[in-house]
Amino acid sequence: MKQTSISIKGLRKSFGKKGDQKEVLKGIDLSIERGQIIGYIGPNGAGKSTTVKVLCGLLTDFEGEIEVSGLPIRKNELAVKRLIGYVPENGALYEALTPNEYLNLVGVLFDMSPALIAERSTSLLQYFQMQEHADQRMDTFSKGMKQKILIIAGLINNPEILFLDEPLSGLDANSVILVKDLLTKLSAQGKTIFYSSHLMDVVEKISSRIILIDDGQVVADGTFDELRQDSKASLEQVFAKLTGANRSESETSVLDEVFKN
Amino acid sequence: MSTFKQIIQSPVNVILVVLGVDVRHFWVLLGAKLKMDFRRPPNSFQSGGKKQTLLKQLLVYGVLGGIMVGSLYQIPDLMLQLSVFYAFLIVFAGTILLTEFTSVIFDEHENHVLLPRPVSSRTLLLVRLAHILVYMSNIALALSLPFTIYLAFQHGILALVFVLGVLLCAWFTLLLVVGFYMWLSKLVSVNRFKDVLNYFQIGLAIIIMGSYQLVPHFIDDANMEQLTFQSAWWTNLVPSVWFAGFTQYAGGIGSNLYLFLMTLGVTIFGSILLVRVLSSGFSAIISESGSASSSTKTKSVKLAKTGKWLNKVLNMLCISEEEKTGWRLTKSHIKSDRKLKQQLYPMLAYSLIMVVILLKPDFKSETNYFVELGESSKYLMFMLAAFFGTLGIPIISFTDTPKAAWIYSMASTNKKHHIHSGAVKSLLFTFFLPLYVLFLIPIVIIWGWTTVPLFVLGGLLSTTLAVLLVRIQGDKLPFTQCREMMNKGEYTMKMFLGLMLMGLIIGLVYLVSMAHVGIAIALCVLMPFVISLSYRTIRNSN
Repeated sequence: MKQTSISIKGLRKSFGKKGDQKEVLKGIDLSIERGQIIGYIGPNGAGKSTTVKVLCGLLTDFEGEIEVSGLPIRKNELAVKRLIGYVPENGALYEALTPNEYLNLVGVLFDMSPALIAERSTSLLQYFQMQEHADQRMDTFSKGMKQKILIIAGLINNPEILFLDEPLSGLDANSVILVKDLLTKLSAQGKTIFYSSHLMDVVEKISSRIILIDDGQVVADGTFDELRQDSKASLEQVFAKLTGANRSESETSVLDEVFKN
Repeated sequence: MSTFKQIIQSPVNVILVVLGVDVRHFWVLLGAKLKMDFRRPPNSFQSGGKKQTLLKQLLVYGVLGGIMVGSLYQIPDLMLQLSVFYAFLIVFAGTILLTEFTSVIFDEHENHVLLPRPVSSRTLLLVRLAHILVYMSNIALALSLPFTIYLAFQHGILALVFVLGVLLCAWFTLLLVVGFYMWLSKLVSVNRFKDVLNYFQIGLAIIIMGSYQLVPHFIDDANMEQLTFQSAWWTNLVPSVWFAGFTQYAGGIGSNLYLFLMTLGVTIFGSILLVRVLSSGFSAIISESGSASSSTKTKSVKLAKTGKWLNKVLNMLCISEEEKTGWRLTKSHIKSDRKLKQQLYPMLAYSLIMVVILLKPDFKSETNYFVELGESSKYLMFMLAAFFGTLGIPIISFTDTPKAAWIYSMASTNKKHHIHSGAVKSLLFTFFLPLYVLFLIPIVIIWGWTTVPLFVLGGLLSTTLAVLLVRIQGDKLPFTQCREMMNKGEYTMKMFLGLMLMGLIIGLVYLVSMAHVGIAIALCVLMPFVISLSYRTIRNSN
């Protein structure tokens, strides 16, 4: 029997002052099974990151019901956080620390033993070819190196569910391959991956299910083949069609005007 | 674990358990924060290490404490001495908390690091409080060191109890300020919290400064030597009196058990209330407030408009387009940078409170008071008060998003420091000049037109002193330094250093006032050249 990993019912989220509110999520209903790799895509401002932040406990004031591994997140905030890993879009790191120091800190927060933290840190740093930088301060790192540490920190607790928000930002081609392989392996082990991204080719290749949101609502949900409806269209073309991103002539002519000289 | 660490940590662990905080999480987070504080970013151009800077700061606080002892020495009554000192400490610590540590309490960047991890809101709040307390304790102990020495000579062992009282007092002030924030968060929605917080900080700064500075200043100096502490029902409601009573009772020379218990009760139950009860609200604020501002409807932020008259001012006061750009950039930043506002606007309030403190109005005999005032040289005090309008200069380099550093690097100009001089001029025009013009009105009414040249001379000298503030800051261009790099307590130290230098200027103007008024007028005519030369030093910086 398939187990539900994440259940979202009527998720609504607004920002702003009363009378001047912007509803970012307008009633999202999803049921995600254990072991699925969810490609969560949508145009800028559609509500992708807000969804991830709500699911990871970064935003707590929302409407609707969310359960993670059967636990309602409002009542089981810490228990849910122990089950998940989160890889944010940007460098949410303590950059003045070294990777070893930072990973130790994150490991302690997950109540891991020092030996287990050391073992997992060493293995993951090795996998991402970062072991030689393990004792260097992260404020000297490139964006890609910092992103690798964010991914490692998201995995250090061996989470049941992994939330990734644009995780490939700044990574080189080899590292992208490493991440893709890793996500496939984790999915095979029964872990749920919630992958939010703009990179259609990666989503297309690794996702077992793709959810497209636009203006805070789910506009498409299914496998890649289901979304393209037996055509030969790429995910990018499907995305453009569903989100109405085809440019009008007047919009493109603006550029001609700008660069005419 | 070393024995010393164990001795320190064991009793604290008991408190942590009582407060419902995860002990292991607490120590590892606090350790990481302190470690990061002492690691300077490798690209920093700061001279000297952090430890060296901290020592310098503590030295300045020690000197301030020494000046305070000079006043306290005149009071013969120990209870009153202690009450006045603790009042001073609460004001000082409260001011630093409001101006420099609020951003530590609501650190949005850290929310992204910690909130997705299983850290309880109690732990998160207490770690932030403890982190601040480390710095507050350093400052409070440095400030109280001269008085501790004085007490050790006068009362022996009481000095040790006093040190404990100082630490408790610093903790109490922290609880008070954060408690106000928590209370405020219950009153307004999370989305409005930051806006309200801004105004609230300014208001709270005025209340703290006002209540603790104005009241004692209405006491007649002449009777200082006869002053003794007179216990009344209302004195039992004054926090500084609690701590004074605590020190005396624990030191074995007081008998007021109520004050002793009040001190312990307020600090213990205040901690429990804040950490165990109010921290859940805190968690909601910090998780929402960062995202709220970035996700609300995009506000159209326009570059500060320059009307016709302002264009004329810019053309008159700025010598290059880069200077004008620095001026406009600063104006826009002041409008949009909430944290900058939180630091700048209380300064204006302090300035007005300073006037009242320094002039000590006597409402009982108004006529005599104004006659005596008109015969005195107290107009000089307005210069000191107006100087608060220049105190934005040492912080103009700092921002949360120091992207200007990249923009300056990419800009095709070799006049980058003109931007800095433009920023300084903009700050002076926005904050200092209006205060000065405002103060000119009572000066003309009370002291007459003859004091105007002296007052103008003081203003022109202050404008030159502003250049010195830039040099103290190390000529860092505006909005190029990450706010996190600003040493805790550094701003307050520079503020006091600036005020001390302003004291010298006031002395100079006082000397000029003894000469013919023509000398003051001549110096006023000469000063624009001096100012022009001094601002050239900013523009020509490397």
